[in-house]
Amino acid sequence: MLEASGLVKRYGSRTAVDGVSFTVRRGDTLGLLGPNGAGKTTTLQMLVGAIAPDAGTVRFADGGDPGDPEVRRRIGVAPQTLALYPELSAAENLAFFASLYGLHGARRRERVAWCLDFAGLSERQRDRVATFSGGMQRRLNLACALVHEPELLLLDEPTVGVDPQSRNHIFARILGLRGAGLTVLYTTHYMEEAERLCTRIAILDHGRILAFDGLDALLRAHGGGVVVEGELEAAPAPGTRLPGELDGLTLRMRSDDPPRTLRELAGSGLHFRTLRMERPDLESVFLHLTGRHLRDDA
Amino acid sequence: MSPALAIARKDLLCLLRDKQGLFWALAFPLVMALFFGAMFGSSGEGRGALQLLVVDEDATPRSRDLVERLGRTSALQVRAATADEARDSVRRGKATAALRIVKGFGEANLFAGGAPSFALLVDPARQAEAGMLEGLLTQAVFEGMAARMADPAAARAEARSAAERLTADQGMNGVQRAMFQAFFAALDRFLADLPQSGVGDGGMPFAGPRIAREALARDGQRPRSTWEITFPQAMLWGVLGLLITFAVSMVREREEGTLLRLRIAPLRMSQILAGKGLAYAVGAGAVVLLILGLAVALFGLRVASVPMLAAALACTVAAFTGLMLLFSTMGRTVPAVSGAASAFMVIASMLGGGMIPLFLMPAWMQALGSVSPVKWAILALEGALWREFDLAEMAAPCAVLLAIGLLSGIAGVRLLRR
Repeated sequence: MLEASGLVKRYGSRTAVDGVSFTVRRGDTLGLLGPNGAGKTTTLQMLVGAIAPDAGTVRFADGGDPGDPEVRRRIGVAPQTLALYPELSAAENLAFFASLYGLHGARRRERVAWCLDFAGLSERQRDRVATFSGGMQRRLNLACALVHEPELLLLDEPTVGVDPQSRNHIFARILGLRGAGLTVLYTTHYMEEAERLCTRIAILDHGRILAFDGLDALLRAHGGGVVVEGELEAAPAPGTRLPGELDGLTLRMRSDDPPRTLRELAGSGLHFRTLRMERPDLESVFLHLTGRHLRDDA
Repeated sequence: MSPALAIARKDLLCLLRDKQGLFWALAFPLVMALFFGAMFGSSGEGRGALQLLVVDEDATPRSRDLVERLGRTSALQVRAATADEARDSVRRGKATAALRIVKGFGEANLFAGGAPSFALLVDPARQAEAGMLEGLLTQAVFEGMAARMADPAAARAEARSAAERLTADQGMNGVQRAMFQAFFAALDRFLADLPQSGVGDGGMPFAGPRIAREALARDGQRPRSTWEITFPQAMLWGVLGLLITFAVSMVREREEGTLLRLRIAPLRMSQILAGKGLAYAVGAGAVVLLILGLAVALFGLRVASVPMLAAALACTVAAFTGLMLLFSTMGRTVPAVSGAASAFMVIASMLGGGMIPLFLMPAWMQALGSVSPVKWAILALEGALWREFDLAEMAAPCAVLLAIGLLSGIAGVRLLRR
């Protein structure tokens, strides 16, 4: 549906995006995961033609250019900043953005009503946006990107600064859109969001894609195996080869196949009193790829 | 509705709900117009006349005649006062000047010295008017002399008295005395031949130049009240207030991300700018018409020509729409754009007569004012309201305003597209 190839963007001596390439397939929910300053927003703005790349190209399925108005009609964008008019009501904001895409009359009213329901703001539709909570504004910001029924939805950090209730509302809505077959490109620095929502994930750091695949494939390739930690019933005999680090009676190890590892240890006479297993996550993947924690940078 | 119209409608809706923006565009200019109009006096009569207190120590028919002549001068408002009252009033700034007519003024001879003497006390803050006051005084004295010369009998008596005083003067040599005696003898014969009923002010060879004041061009071509000065200024303040509001709204759109939404919508940049410009033009036009309507309804402002007013309004709005687009590019933050637009507003108003009418400024300031669009806008508005401009006269300010709008608009659009 969308193909980015070799995108480069420089600001003076700093390279914000450095040769980013990926393809968004129809029905995908593709996540761009990376810390702040990784180049996610710059990449997204190049995809929609808001800024021109210094190198590289963006092409839609039919060869369309993002600067082409007909292509733009098929894209919806929810910017990271709350791009709303606080003096206008929720309904007025939606109606205004709908009119920019050529929606009029009954069709526009229908879409505005759908979006208000989508954002859970039907009862507050006549209230000015300035009176809304941060979560309500964030939901409306997302709804404004959907008012013209785009085929491709680009969401730039759509849950920044929202309360847990609104975050769950947004997650549920995005999963609903995904279920309805909408193609979504989602930038975030929250690994939980990428894990929960995205079918494929590109890990971005310093303007480059370090890895791009489905969640399971990324975990297998870069996650470093399952962490197994347990307290032994008795100290191992001196000279016993252990697959991990021993601290007192606590053994901590990594394994790609925990059941087999545990069977092998039992065969050596090592039995656990307690046992805890920790699945690798995208934090482990990022740590493996960059040597840094995603949370530290975010 | 086209996207440009949708943007214009949205901007006007935002403006109507922005109480601060409305205050600066509408309420503030009205307050200023009312304040300055009331401060300088609403009637045109007596406006600008110097307050002159007269202390008549001579108290003769001639001194009273002089006071009467001074009182007839439209540039002076004359009032009798005691010496102490006059000095105190000038010192406190309540009067521009005080004139003391010294005792003996009425006995001074026309031909033999003893020139009338006065003492003039002028407010130190109004020294510029002192020269004008001396000129008016001299004019009144000479008019009195001319009137006396118009009565041959009185003139002959003064001439004979002067001749006797010269004959008695021992300091004069024989040749000079003989020349003066011959002169006064000839003057006496000349006066004796004139009709004794008098010759009128204009019949005497000693009469000064007669200056007839003519209307500048057409009847009524002057402001009837200070409202006709302050309300065009208020209209410009409204236009300038909106300029700041709209220039700032552009950079706010950029800061708050809504400009990104506009730019990624299926619109051309020209449609976005057209919408912005249209909203400003409609807003500015509405503000001007509202102020004008109030001025006409409540303060009797004249509209000499509705078509000329429409032309003046259109050109004014066009000029400031272009400037608004330019100023919206003068920074990337709200404080930067607001600061640049506010500085422009103050300087352009100051130079262009938006604060103090240009005719009250020194000549070099009036010349410098030509760089300000405010000057041309006020001239165009006044031309349509009370100066009674014809098409050719209105063409000059309108052409300047359109050129300003076009050039600044092109520059603004180019900078915004970068």
